[in-house]
Amino acid sequence: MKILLVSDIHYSLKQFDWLVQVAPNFDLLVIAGDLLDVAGHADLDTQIVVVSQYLERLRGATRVLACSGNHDGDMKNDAGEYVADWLQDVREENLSVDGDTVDVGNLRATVCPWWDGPVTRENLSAMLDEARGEGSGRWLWIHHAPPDGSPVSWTGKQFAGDAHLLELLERLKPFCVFSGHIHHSPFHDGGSWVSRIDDTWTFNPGCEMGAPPAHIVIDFDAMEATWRSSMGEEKIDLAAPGDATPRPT
Amino acid sequence: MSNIPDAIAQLPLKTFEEGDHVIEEGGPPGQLLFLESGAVEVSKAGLRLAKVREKGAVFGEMSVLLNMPHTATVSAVSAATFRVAENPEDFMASNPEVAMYIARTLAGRLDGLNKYLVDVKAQFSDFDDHVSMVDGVLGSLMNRQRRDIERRPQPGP
Repeated sequence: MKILLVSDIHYSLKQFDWLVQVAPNFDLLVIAGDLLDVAGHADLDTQIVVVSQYLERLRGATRVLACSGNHDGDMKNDAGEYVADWLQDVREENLSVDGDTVDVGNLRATVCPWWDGPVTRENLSAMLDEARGEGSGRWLWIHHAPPDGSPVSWTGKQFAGDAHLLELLERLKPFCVFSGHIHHSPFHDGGSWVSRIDDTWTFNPGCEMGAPPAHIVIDFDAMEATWRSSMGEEKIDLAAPGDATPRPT
Repeated sequence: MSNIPDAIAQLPLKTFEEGDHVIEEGGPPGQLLFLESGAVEVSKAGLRLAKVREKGAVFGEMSVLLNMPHTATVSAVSAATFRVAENPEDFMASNPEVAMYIARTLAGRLDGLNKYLVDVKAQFSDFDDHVSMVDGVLGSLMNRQRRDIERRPQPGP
């Protein structure tokens, strides 16, 4: 099982083009939120049209899991909290989005929507409680914001992750969480693209301009993860959880 | 869609069942339809282009305004109701606020298209080909009076 993890593509057409090229090389492609860019020149309605067509292409190449981030909301719910309603429209075979839990090989993957307030946050908690179910495989969460207090949420000055996610990790103990959101965590001293909270691996590939995007390849057969960016390449041995320090290769 | 003119709500309702074709690609111009409830899918040559469920969304306007066949098929993906103007030109002439509503819809589409292309040009600014000309061409197309130039018959081989 070879997984490609990216996040925070922010409507970079070159990065989407790169994903289309490489997707056939992976068993699973995970896009951990912020597919759109609220500050982009093209309006969000147009961005949704373009990104939906990229997702359609990508699902033809491999299995895709895509969660919403804080840039992806296109509607407000009754409580006035943003939700990514458009993602619900692109759900198809091979393309799982917010709210889905799917079993892939020996993995159980849950795609978490961005929570924007108390209502969507409680919905997320309930969804994860239900998704826990009887899955026997390793449980993987796709959740845009990284856990607070972890190197994968380090901005260079402070931790800016999600405290609610920390509570969920402590209670439900997934095998790993794929995030993004804090663009520069992997590039700052004190930050990282990988970390560990108790028994849970946490990943954040970071965000860079241009193609290819910063990305992580997770190989659950070889039990290793590799981060690639403009900084070069680093690896970590997932079979040695006592040492969560990545090493340059 | 906000600010839907009151005159539209006075039009008769027509209901389509799931799977019904509301408009057929290539069909002649005729009705102007405004979505009241439900959802439709717009497709061209069998390729899905869009899913629409916004109340007030207008269909058939390009065909009516340019007097040309419908450029896409609109089909109901759930039971859908429309307000239907059987004589669109008379309806717009007697309800100028409807003509303004449609003009704003078209201007919004043009603006979205323009921004999309300008962004493509910006994101691929290192390309030294036609993409680098996109904003210049767009600027010309957006700021000129469109001429309807007659196509001369094709000469023989």
